[in-house]
Formats: sequence, structure tokens, C-alpha cells
Amino acid sequence: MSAATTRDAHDDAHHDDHHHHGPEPGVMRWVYTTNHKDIGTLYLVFSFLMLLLGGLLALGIRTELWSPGLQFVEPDFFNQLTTMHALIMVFGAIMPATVGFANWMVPLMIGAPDMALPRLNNWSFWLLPFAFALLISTFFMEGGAPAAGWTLYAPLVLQGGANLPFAIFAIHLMGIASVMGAINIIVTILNMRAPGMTLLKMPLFIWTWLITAFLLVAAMPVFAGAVTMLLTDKFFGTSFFDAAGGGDPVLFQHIFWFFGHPEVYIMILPSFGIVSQVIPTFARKPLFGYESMVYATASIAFLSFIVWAHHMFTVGMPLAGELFFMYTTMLIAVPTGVKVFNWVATMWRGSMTFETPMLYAIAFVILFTLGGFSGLMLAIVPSDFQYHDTYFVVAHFHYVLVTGSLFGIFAGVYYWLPKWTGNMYDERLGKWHFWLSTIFVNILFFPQHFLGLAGMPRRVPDYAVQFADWNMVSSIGGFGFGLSQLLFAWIVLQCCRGGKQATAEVWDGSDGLEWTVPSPAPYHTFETPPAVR
Amino acid sequence: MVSMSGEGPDHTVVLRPNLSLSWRQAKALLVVVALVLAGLASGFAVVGLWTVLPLAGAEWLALAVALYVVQRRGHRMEIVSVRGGCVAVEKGCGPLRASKREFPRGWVRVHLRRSPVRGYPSRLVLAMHGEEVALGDFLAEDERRHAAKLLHRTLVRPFPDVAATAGSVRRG
Repeated sequence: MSAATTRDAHDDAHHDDHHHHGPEPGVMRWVYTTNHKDIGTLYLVFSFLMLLLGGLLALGIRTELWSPGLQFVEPDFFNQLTTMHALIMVFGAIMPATVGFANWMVPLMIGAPDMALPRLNNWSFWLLPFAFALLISTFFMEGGAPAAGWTLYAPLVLQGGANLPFAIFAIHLMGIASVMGAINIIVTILNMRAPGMTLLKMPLFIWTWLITAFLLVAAMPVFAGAVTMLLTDKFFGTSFFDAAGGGDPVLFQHIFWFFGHPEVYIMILPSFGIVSQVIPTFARKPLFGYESMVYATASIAFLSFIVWAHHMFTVGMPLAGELFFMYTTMLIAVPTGVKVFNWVATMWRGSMTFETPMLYAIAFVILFTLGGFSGLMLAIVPSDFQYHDTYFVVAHFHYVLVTGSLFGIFAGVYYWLPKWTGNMYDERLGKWHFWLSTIFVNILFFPQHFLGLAGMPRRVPDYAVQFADWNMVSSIGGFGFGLSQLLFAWIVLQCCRGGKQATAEVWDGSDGLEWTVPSPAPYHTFETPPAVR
Repeated sequence: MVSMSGEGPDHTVVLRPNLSLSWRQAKALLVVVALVLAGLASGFAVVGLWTVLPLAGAEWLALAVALYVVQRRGHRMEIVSVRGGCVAVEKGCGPLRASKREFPRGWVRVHLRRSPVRGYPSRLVLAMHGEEVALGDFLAEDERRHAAKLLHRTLVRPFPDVAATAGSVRRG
């Protein structure tokens, strides 16, 4: 007897054949990998390298600002440092780190075997090293790196050296990588949730990333369009932002901030999600007001598109416009307040313990709220006229992005590191890292509020002697904070190489599908089936 | 997902990947995203910043293609029909069956092979005389085990007339 009918048998045989290969041996594993865990690791390692590089540039800034006068760098190079520090931190450190978390955790948390489009995932990541190599190479070009600030305001940015097309091409590549990553995350979350996991049963980290991905989809074409118009203004004779040719430079500020403000939420929302996972675990209570957290996150995302002009109150807007943007900006405090209230209420009367992830989460809640408050001060138009372009603004957004986004990322790394590596990290060193980072970050950024209120402008390499003391304090904080991150690198390395074996559950208050798989999570997930209750 | 239907000796086992979004919902999502992106990009185009428009369009297209690919993959189906002495395995997407293979029931074996590498998925195959058809690559591990049990149970049931079945196989 034999098989009677065979159509497409060759296809079948081929299909059957490529099912069980392990990862490529050696370095090529990381080049060819389509596994979400490998790609998550690549993103996280890349973002940490970028954090160190961006941090190095920041230390260059703080070294120059240690005392008044010009000591180490020329003003133009100082501007390059501030611009590249921001571009690298925003697009190279914070965003890829959160994408790394998404890659590692989204499939694990929704019970999917991998991301929906694994090859696209590989491509999304591997665009980044090329994009940043291109961006960083501008330091060595005639005229140096971009020096007009990360906002790339026209016409200033058009007056730079040879860097513009390279920087814009790099930004385009980063944008393509971000959009592909966002599309992959949307498609994965919507299509591949385990049976029974309805939208309102998804962990909050998943919700925050879903909303972040939609923000990326809506904001990125605007930014890509804006930088493309800069390029055509410079090289193809258009006058989108050139007043001499009938264009409008202020229009660039509008289009940039239409992208730029949602971008802030693109960086902070995933950290909201991480903290919303960490706090219930160590408070040993379910998250208070889960649904209100989801709606608050969605509200923040929506509002982020109608507040952009609060970054440019001093540009000369009509009063009605200033009032509109002032009120909408202040409105963001409502859903943000809901979130902070819910985090605190989750901790209220919980059986709390204070392992490193929880310490970072608590610091996040307190210090991010502080950054939010200074944001409220900046939202008030008459006050903003006083604070605009001063160090107060620098202090504000660093409280949001460092003690907010970055501390959320630290919380997430310590929280999930045992799941990723199968080993517990050194808790004692973790706490040292926490305390050093928290103390030094406040020494670094808190005095900048005083400097700004006293009138010190931002983006200057030299300043009046009245600002000398607080600048020195801030620089000491900068070096302390920077060096503390070497300890973080050591803790992670040590944990990857060995340590106490982590259990599947890792933390005794942990809840969610990711804790049902063994530690380290198997290369292909869900050896044991996900059960959503 | 694994489902089985049929009575007596004849059974059909259907294997499908898990898909948490229906095609209708996917289309609704695409419409909403298109409206939002078109609104934003048109607004910018009206004030002269028209370059946002094609980029937003390209991005929407990328999202649409991604959703379509995943939806299509999610509508894959593998149907194992046991009719008398014949076992038919059909694979395809939705109502469109791309491939069909038939085996004589008496010779078919169900194998669930564990991966030699820990943490890797097992492999479910229908095998006969060195020929194999893999089934349920897209299933979760527990579903694959469940499918293996169902198929095994279905195939070892007694069937009425081997000779008649062999004839029907030759005709196929």
C-alpha cells in the first residue's frame, strides 16, 4: 500500500524540515536571530552602550560647566555635545531599551511563542547600529556633528557643516526601525494573545506598550516629514522653513513639537507599565484601579497630541492659542494624577518588601511626580515666559526622563533579570546601585532648578559667576551618577555569568504568564501551557 | 486550537493557530488608523507641509501588510479526516486548501517527538513507510500534546472494511 494522493508534497517536506534548529553558533546567532529573546537582549545591550556613550557626552558637558569660563571645549563643540547627547539618549538609549523590554516580555506576558513578524524584528534592530554609526560619524566630519539641539530648529540647523544629510539619513533609519518595531508590537499584541486573554485582562505593561506603539505610528511620519523638508530646503531649493522664500521657520517648531511631545510619552509610558508590574508584586496586592490605569494611559496618549505648543509659548502665539495649550497641558495632570494615586493606593497596606526593583519603582513614583510638578509650573504661560530656555527646563525634563524613564527601566531590569538569566542578581550590590544613583541623580539635577530660577540659560558653555556653586554641585552629581552605572554593568554581567538559581516564580508576589515558564525562560517559550484566568 | 467532530469510526480533527483578532476587527483597526493618519497628514498638507502625507500613507500600508500577513497566517488550518480506511490530511488557509495527502488508515502512525534541546517545541507527525506529514507546528505545546492524543485515539479505533477503503484510496 502507498499514499495515494500527494499534492505539494515537496512543500510539506521542506516545511517539515526547518522546524527545530537551535540558535546559530557563535556571533552569527545574533546576526541571523529571529528569536524575540535574542533580539530583546540585543536591544538592551545596544541601549546600554548608547547610555554609556550619551553619558560620556554629558560628562563632557558637565566638565565644561564645572566652573565659569571656557576650559575644555570650544562653544561650537559644546553645542555638538548637547545635541548629540540628546539624540543618542532619546533615540539610542531610552527608546531601544523600552523596545528591548517589549521584545523580551510582550510574547511572554501574552502567552505567544514569539513576536508576530520575527524577521521584521531582526531587521528593526539591525538598522539601529548602522543608523548610530552614521550619526556618530558626523563628529569626524568637516564642521563636526549637528549642533542645533535635538530639536533641529530651522534655520539654525541648516547653517551647520557637512553633517546634515548624514544626520537626517540616520534619523530616517531610526524612524523606520521604530515604526517597524511598533507595527510588530501592535500586530503581536492584537493577534497573538493566549485564549482567554481579553484586552482588559492584559498586563498593564502590555497596555502601555500597545498605546506607545500607536503613538509611534502617529508621530513618526510627522517627524520624518519634518526632517525631509529640512533636507529639501538645504539641497533642493525648497523654502518650507525659509522666510526669504516664503516659508515659515516657526512652522518647523510646530511640526517638530507635534512629534516631540508624544515622543516624551513614547519614552515614559513603557516605564509606567514596568512600574505597574513591579509595585503590585512587592506590595503583594493586585494593582489598584486597573481599568482606570488603562483609561488614564490612553488619555495621556490622546492629550499628548494637543499640547505641543507649550514648548514654544515665547515664540509669539495669539493669546487664545497660549490659553488653549496651557489648559490642555494642565489637563494631563489629571490622568497622571490618577496613575500616581493608583500606584500609592496599591502600596497602601500592602505587605511591602523593598528589593531593588521596588526601590527603583518607589523612587520613580516620587521623583517622576516631582518632574511632573515642575512641568505644571512650565505649563503656566506667564511662568513659562520666565523659565523658558533656562536650566529649570533642563531640570524638569531630566526628572521626567532620567528619574522617570530610566529609573523605570532599571526597575524592569532588576525585576526581570532573574527570568532572563536564570540567576538572581546580587541584591546587596543592587541596593548600592540604587542608593548611589538616587543620591547622585538628585545632586545632579535638583540644583539645576535653582540655576534656572536664577536665570541661567541652557545650552551655554560659559556662565556668570553667580551660578558657579550650583554648577559645581551639579557636575559632582553628574560624575557620581555616571560612575554608578559602571556598578550596574558589573551587576548585570555578574548575574549573566552565574549566581543563585532563580525559581520560575522568582518573586513570591509575582503574578502573570511570564512567571509560569522556567527561569531562564526557554529559548522557545511555553513548554508549559499558558493559563489565563 | 484543536477541535474534533464526527461520530462512529469517522472523525475530523481540525488544527488552527490561536488568533485573538478577527479579520473584521483588523479591518476596523485599519480604518481607524487610516482616518487618524489621514487627518494629521492632511492638516499638515493644508499648511504646506505635504511631505507628511506620503510618509503617513507608506506607514499605513506597512501596518496593513503586517496585519494581513499575520491574519492570513492565523487562518491556516490543518484538517485530518478519518473516513473508513482512509486518512486525509489537508493543509491550507481558510477555505482554500493548498495541499492534500491521503494515507491508508491501517498503516498510519502518530508520533509526538520531543525536541532533543530542552525548551524547544515537540514535533507532531503522521508517518507511514518513511513518509511524514508534520502537523500543528503553530500550536502551543499543550495543544500539540492534546492533538496527538486525539489523533492516536481516532486512528486506533476499529474501522469497518479495509478492502473497501483501499479501493477508495486508489481512486483518490
